[in-house]
Amino acid sequence: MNARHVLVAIACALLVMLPLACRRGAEPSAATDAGRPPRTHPDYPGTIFPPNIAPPNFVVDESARRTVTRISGAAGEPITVRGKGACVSIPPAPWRALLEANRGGEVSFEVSARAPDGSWRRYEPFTAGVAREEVDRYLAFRVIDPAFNLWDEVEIRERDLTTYRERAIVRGPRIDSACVNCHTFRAGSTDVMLASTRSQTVGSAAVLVEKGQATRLDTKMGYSAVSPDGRTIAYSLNNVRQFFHAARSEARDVLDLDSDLALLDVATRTVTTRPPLAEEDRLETYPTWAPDGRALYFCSAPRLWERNPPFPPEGWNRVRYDLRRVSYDPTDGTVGESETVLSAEAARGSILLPRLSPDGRFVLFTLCEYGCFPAFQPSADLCLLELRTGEWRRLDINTEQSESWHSWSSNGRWIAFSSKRDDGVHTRTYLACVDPEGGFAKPFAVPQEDPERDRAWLKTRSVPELLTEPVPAAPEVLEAAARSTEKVQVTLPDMSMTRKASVPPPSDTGQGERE
Amino acid sequence: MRGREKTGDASARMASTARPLPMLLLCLASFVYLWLYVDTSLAYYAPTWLGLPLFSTDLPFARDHWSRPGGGGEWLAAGLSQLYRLPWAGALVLEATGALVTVATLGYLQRLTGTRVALAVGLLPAALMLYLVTILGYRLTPMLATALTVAAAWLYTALSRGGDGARAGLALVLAGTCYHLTGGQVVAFACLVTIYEWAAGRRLPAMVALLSAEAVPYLVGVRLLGLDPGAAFAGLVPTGLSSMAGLQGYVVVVALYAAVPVLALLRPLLTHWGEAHAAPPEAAARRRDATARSALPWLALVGALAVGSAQHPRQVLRLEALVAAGRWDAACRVADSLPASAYLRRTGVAVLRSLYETDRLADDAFRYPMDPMLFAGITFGQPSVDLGGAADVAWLREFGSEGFFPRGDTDLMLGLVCEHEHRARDALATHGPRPEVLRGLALVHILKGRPEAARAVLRNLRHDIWHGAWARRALTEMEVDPSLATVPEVSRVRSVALREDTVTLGLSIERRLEALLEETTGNRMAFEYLVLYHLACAKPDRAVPLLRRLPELGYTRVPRAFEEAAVLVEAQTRQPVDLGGLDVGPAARDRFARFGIAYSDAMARAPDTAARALAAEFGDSYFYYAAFLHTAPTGRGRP
Repeated sequence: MNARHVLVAIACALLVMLPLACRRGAEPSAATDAGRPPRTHPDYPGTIFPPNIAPPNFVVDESARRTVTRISGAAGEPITVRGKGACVSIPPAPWRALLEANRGGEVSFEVSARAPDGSWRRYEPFTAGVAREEVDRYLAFRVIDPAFNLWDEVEIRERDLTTYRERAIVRGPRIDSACVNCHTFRAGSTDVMLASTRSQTVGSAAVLVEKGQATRLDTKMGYSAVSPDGRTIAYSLNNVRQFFHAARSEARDVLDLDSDLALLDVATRTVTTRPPLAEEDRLETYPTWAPDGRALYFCSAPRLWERNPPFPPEGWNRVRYDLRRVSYDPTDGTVGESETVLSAEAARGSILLPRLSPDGRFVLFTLCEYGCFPAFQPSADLCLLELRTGEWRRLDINTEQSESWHSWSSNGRWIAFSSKRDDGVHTRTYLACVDPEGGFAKPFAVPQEDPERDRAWLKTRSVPELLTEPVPAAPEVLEAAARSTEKVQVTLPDMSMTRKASVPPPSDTGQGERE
Repeated sequence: MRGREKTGDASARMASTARPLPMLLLCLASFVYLWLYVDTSLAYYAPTWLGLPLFSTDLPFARDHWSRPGGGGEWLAAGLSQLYRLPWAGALVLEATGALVTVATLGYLQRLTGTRVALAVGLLPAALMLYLVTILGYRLTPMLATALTVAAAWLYTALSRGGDGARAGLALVLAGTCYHLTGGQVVAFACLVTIYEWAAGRRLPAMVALLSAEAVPYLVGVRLLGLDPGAAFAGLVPTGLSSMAGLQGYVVVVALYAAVPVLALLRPLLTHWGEAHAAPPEAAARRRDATARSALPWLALVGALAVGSAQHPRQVLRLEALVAAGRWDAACRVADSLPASAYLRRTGVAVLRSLYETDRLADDAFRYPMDPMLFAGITFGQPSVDLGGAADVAWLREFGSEGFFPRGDTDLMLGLVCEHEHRARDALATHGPRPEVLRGLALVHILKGRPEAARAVLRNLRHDIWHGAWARRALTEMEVDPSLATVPEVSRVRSVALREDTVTLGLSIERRLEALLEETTGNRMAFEYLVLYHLACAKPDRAVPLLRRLPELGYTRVPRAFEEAAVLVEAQTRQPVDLGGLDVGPAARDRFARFGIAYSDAMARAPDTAARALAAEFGDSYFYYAAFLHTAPTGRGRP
C-alpha cells in the first residue's frame, strides 16, 4: 500500500463519517420528552426581559453534552442555537430582532439536550416576557472580593446592558490598592458623579466628577445622594466599624457607632447641616432625594450607647432605623422639620437604603432585622412603600438571602438590585420589571456572555446604579484626582461626627463593608 | 556575508566535535543538584513568598493569558511550575529551560561570530539561572522568557535568507511572536537581531529589528489590544521577583535578561578567541576535554555560592513544605535541626501543628522556640492585653491571609469555622484562587450549609492539576449528599465546630479555645492548645486547673510539659494538683528539684548569665521557660 492508497482510504472514511457527524449535531428527531422544563442557570423561566437587554445566555444544568435551543415568539424570526456543551450562547443580532418583534409579548425557549450516553431529551418549553419599556442602557457597579478585611483589587465598573461590554470607571489598584466605593450619580445621569476612595497611602478622598472633570474633595463621605438639580450633595459621615461573629453563616457584621448627615453645595464647596440631619442622640444615614428635589429622605435610629463605648457596644443588635423625611428648599437650601415616614417599630425591622421611584410615588427600601448594613444580613428584604397611602409590603421577589442596594431606572419600570440568592455568598446584580401599580416581575440576573464562568466567579458585583449614559470621564482622570495632593478644602460644620476629641477615628480595617 | 559563510563551517565543526559523555555528565550533575538541593517543591508549597504563579487548566484562564502580550510565556511558565510539586519533575523543567537557553545562546553566538564559541560562554545564562534558584528565586517566568527570546533570535539567524526585505519581514514576524510570548523581552530579541544583522553589514534589517522593539509593543499592545503604554511595554520585565530572593535575586534576573545581548556586543572578542583557539582536527580530543572542563568553573562557582548562601531560609521552607504536604514526622525532624534564630512566627505555628499531629505537642512543645503570639496565628484571635497587638492591617496580613500558608487549616481543625472563613476569604482577595485557599473555602461553605457556594469554589478548584481530582470527586459526591458527610475532614470539623454565636472582635485567644472546649468537651486539640497557650503566657496557674480533664479526654498519662507545669504550680501553691486521677512521674519531680537547686545557684552567682548556664540541662523544660520566658532549644533534651 503506497501513500496514495492511504490518502484514498482516509478520504473514504471521512466521507462515511461526515453524515454521522452531521447527524450528531442535527435537530434531535428521536428525542424523548423529559416531561418538565430544563434546569437552567441563571434562572430565566417566567421572568420579563427588557427589549434592549443583551442575550441571556444560560447553562443547561442537565449533564448535557450538546444542546439545541429554539427561541421563538409570536412574531419575528425564531433563533436556533446549537451548543457544544451545556452553555447556550444566543447570537446578539437575531436576539435583538426577536425582542423587538415581540415587545409586550413573550419569547419561548425549547431546549433539547444530548446526554452523555448519546440520547436526546426534549424539555418542556419555558417562556419569558418581553416588556415594552427599555431598561437604562448602562449599569455602574462595584467589583470586590467577598473578603473580611483585606483586598487587592476593587473596581467600579460600567456595563452596557445591551451588550456584554464592560469598562472600568475607577480602579483601586491604580490608587495604591485603595478601596473604591459609594458611587453616586444625579438621577441616573452622569453629569454629576461622586465616588469615594480609601487608601492606606493616599488617604480617603471623595472624587467629584462634573461634566467629565474630576476634583478631589478634602472630606470623607459615607453614603451620598446628588440632588436632582445637581447643586447639592447630601452625604453621611459614618463612624463605621466592622466586627465578626463566631458561629453564624454570615460572620461579618457592621455597626455605625455614630453618623450624621451633611449637605454639600457643589458650587461653593460649603457644607452645612442642622439638627434634623445631625441630631446628637441619633444616627442618621442613607440620604436620598425626592425626584423634585424638595424633600430629603434618610434613615435615623436612636443611638443606644454613650460616646466611646466598648466595642461592640451593648445594644448593637437592637439598633433599628426609621425612615424619615425633611423638606428642602433648593432656592435657599433651608431644611424643614423632620417627620417619620415609616417607623422601625411599624416595620418590625431596620429600614435602610430608601430610594424613591422617579415619579415620586413609591419608596423602595431594604428591611432587615437590625443595624445599618443589609448586605451582611440574610434577613434583608426589599420592601415597597406607597407614599400616598403609607402602605408598605415586602416584595414577593425576595429570597432567604440578602437583597439590597437597589436602583430605579429613569422610566421607573425597572429596578436593579444586589442579591446573594445564588449561593448566599457571591452577590450578583438582578433586574426586575415593575408595573405601574408597583407589582414586580420575577427578577433575572444581568446576562453574562459566559454564564458558566460567571457561576464560578468568586467576586461580587454589587451596588448597581442604572444610568442613562456612560460616565464621561476616563478612569485615569478619576484615579489621578483620587491620588492628587490638590484637594478642595471643605470645612465641616460642628456636629457629633466632627468632634474628633470625643469620637474614636473610624476603623480602616472595616474594608469589607458595602458588598 | 562573511558571518554566514563562517557559520556553516563552524556548525559543521561543532557537529563533528560533539561528544555526548561530558555534556551528559554536566547535565546529570546539574539535574541532581536541582533535584536534591534546590528542591522545587519548596516553591510549590510556599507559593506566596516564592512567587509561584497561579495556574488553571480552564480554557478561559488560557484565553486570558494568551490574549495579552507576554501572557503566553506566563501561561507556559505557570503550567510548568505546577510540576515543581515533584522535586524531580521541577528539576527537569529547570534543566530543560537551562538546556534550551544554553543551546540557543551557543547557536546564536556561533552564527554571529562565525566561529566556535566556548561552552563556558554559552553556559552563562544557565549558570545565572542556577544561581537564581539557589538563592530561592524560583520563578520560572523570567528564565523561560529569556530562553524563548534567545531561541527566537537563534531561529532568526538560522532562517534568515535572501534580501533585506525578506529578512526585515522575518524579524518583524519573530518580534511579534516574541512579544506575544514574552512581552517586554522583545527588546532583548530586537537587540540580538540588530547586532547580528549590523555585524553582517545589513543595515536595513538591523534598523527594522531595532525599531520593532518599539513598534511591535506600540502597534500590537497599544493600538491593537488597547493597553496602556506602560502595560504594553512592561510584559516580562524583571519586576515582582519573589521577596525571598530579594535585591540579589532582582540583580540576577536583570543580568539574565542582559546576558546574551551583552555577549553579542562582545562579538569581536569572541571571534578573536574562537579563531585563536581553532585547532587542527588532530587536536580535537584535547579541545573536547577542554570544552567540558570549561563548564566546571561555573559549576564550582554555583556550588560555592550554594554552600555560602543562607541555609536557614531553605530549611524553614522545607519544614513548611512538609507541613503543607502533611508529612508531620519529617517536619518535626527538620524542626529539630533549625536554630531558634531561624524561626519565623509561621515556622512556630507549623511546628506546633506538626507536634500535635504526631501526638507530641503536650510533651515536647517547650523543646522548640515558644511565643504566645503563635497562638494568634492559630486561632486568629486577639492576644491578651499584656501581649499587645492591634487589629491593624499588618497584623491582619500576618495572621490572616498570609498565615494561610503553608497550612492554614489549624483553626478549621480546632472547630473555628468562621475564623477559617475569615482568613481564607482574605487570602483569596490578596493571593488569588490558590488551591489550598479554595479547598478551605469549599470546606467552610459545606460546613456552613452553603452547597451552591461550595460548588462555585469547587468549579474553580477542579481545574487545578493537583487538587482537581479531589474537587471533581467532591462535586460528584455533592450530587448525592450536599453535606459531604463522608469526607473525613468535614466530619472531623463538624464534630468540634463552634455552634454558639458570639461577637468575636476583641475576644481573646483563650476565650476562643475555652468556647470550643465548653461546647465540645472532647476537643482534644483545643484542650492542648489552650493549656499550652496559658503556659506560653507564663500563667501555669490558669493552665493546671484544666488538667483535671485529662482522663476524660483520653489521656492515660500526664504529658511531659503539663507534668512540669503541675509540679511548678504544686511548688508555688504548696497544694496538690488535681490531675483527674493521674499522677506526676518521679522523673519530673526529680528534675524540678534539680532545677530548683541549679537555678538558685546560678542566680546567686551571676543572674545575667543564669539562663545560659541552665540552658544545656534544662532548656527544654517548662521550668526553664517559666523562669526565663523563652526556651533554649539547644538543650540536651532535644530529640
